[in-house]
Amino acid sequence: MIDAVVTAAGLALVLFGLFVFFSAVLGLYRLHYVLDRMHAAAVGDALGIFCILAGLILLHGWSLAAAKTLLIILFLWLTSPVASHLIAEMEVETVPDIRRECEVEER
Amino acid sequence: MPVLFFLIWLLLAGEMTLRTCLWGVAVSALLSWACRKFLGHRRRPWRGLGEIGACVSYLWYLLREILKAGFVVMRLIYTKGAQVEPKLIWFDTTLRSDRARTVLADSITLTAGTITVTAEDGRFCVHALDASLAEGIEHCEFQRRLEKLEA
Repeated sequence: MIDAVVTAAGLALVLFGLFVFFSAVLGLYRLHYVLDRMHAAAVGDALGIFCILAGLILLHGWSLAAAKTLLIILFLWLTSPVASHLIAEMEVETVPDIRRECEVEER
Repeated sequence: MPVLFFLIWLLLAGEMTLRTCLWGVAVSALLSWACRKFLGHRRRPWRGLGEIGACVSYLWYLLREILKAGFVVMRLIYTKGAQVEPKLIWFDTTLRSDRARTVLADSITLTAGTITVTAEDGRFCVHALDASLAEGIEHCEFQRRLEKLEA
């Protein structure tokens, strides 16, 4: 009984993760500027990867592979902000007039 | 630091034999030495179990925020699409240590919808996908919790 529930939860998580990635790809098309599109990609990076890997852990059961999967989530979450920060910084530094693309506010 | 390296080594090795343990000790010692020598890692004074508890509670809060922000941005993609109002905000953070500032910048970037563009000398530049996500970002809960950790 518990096995069936865990398998169902795992499947649901994997399917939801796929839906998140679908939304992320859709966001790439629906948004029009680099910095906006990066947010759509970030959804896949954060929520999508978490859902799919958590679903895989549930489907596979607790084992050494599951611990390694947790390590993968950790490393992806440590490295992806650095990469997106660098891309965003490069875009803001090089675009001729950032104020035409989005509102700028100094607080 | 060496203990952390050793645990990751054991996890990746997948077995507990004398051979892997000895290699693990050697590799973690070498890596910790390299971290001190080349990356400038310094050990902070031990401040008790309370700090670990605060870190765990921060990570738990971060996890919830990441998941929540994912849903918010997904809803924006479906409802607003190209009509979003992106915003670039400059603000000063009250955090003083580089460590806390880095964690704040990483946390802001990890929560979808906001990306840290620059973070120099306590002046942050954050890009938000929609103006609603940028409200009150200079007094966000991340910063409050980090201030407590820093104190």
